[in-house]
Amino acid sequence: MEETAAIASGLVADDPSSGDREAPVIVAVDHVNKIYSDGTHALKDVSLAVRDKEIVAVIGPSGCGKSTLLRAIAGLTSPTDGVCRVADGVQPAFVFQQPTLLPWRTAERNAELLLRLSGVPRAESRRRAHEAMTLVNLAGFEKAYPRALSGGMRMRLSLARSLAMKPDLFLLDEPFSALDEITRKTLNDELARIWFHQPFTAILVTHNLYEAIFLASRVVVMSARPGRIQTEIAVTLPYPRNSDVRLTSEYVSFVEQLSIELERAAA
Amino acid sequence: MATTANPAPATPARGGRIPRGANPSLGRRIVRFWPAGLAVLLFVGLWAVLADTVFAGKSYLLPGPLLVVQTGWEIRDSVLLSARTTLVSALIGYAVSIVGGMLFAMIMAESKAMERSLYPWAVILQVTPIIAIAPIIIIWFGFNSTSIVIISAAIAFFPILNNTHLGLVSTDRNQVELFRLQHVGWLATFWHLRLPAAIPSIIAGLRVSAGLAVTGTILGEFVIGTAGSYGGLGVRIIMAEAVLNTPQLYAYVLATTLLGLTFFAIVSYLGYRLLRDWHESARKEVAD
Repeated sequence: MEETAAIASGLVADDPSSGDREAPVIVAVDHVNKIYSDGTHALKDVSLAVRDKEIVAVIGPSGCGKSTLLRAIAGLTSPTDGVCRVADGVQPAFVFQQPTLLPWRTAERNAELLLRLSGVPRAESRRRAHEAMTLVNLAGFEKAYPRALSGGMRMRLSLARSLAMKPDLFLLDEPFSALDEITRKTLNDELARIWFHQPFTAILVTHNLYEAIFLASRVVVMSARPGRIQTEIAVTLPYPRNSDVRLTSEYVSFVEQLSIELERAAA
Repeated sequence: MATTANPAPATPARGGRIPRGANPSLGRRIVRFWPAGLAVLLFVGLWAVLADTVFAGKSYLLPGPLLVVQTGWEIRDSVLLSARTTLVSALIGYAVSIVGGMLFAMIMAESKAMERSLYPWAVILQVTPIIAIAPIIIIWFGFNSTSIVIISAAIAFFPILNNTHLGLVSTDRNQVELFRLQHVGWLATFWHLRLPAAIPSIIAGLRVSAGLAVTGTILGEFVIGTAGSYGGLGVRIIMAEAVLNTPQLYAYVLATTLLGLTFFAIVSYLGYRLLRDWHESARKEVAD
């Protein structure tokens, strides 16, 4: 952990509103630019520090480079200049917008896939896969193939596959955007519950402001073309959060505040 | 919900197979297949009527279905023997085309440079009528069953190459990234992701080529002849034609068709078995 903090500390520019200033920095994005070969300036001078057990939502109009930022952190794309660093020993798990299941594997074999691929023995993989499936309310569907599952269940299975790895860092790329509003809310509730029981660090890219406020402790607002960080909102709603939070006036005022910021970002 | 989709896992069923209750009853099967059955009956009926009226007494032009079957039965020893010869050649030719087609597809899927240098040749092989290069094959390998097998393999080769290649290069990008993020090696990625993802496409190629392997064998037999043994169905067809024994000719053609159908059906069934649990193409209509 000391190592982690030491490596990251040199990169942190400023961190104005993080809840826990003492927690080690897990992800450090330092003056990152990304220009694609077609000339698109996707990210402009983006700096961001994410601390341990924080959920940071990144929100902005489409084309603001929020997915590019997440992919750069995951190492799926490299910045044109600047540095994206994940603390040493931190195992990130990427959750795609699509469930990205392997249709020829049953639910449990999908849930254990990443464990098996990283060499965890069969029995232990299976046990941890079942645990993760129980966590996302998929117990009883172990032998079902993805095609037999609903869209919401597939997304849960995709989450379970990552949860089974017990990752230190979740990189969530609009994971619920393909779902209907009711399913999305349910999965938001479940993710909040899981986080409370088994806390993890997460960066959530989304274009849904309700989801951002509900899940995150900080919301980073990005503006488009070129994508840069416009502002940041600290969401001070108490944990644990459940669906009741959505009825509080604090929640509503955060949503309003974010809505105003988003409009400014889009302008 | 949970209970309907998945019964208690007391006896671990092999991977979510369609429950027995979903097997269609005999009545359901009849309902589903009667249009196809009716079409066959109409076709055979029309054939019989034509043979008995327009072509009455001219069985050398169009023998009726009954006569064809009778003739086939009379010469059954010859039909079976020649069918066996054709079957063996077609099987070997099919196997060669599968191994060769899949091997080249893998090489092409691995390297763009290889794809650019090999694919044009595959297309050239595909567009050149094999019958035109049969003489070259004969010069190289002689009038023997090797040449027949090579002609069969050459004809069945392209669909397997093309479909396997298409399947291997069409892996979902997110799935590839999922594996990449986990630092999975080339071999494991191939085995656990790219090959299984390509299976539906590979099966499509195998199905097309199953019929082509039989067609190619018949073609080879036309060109090469008996090749020392009794000779396959292709040889028998040529011989029946030479003496204008049309009922025999039809009987051998019928046997060829049945052989090709059997080939196709077996490959299709094996493909269905592989895909039925997970692929949309093999989805059973299950009444909820």
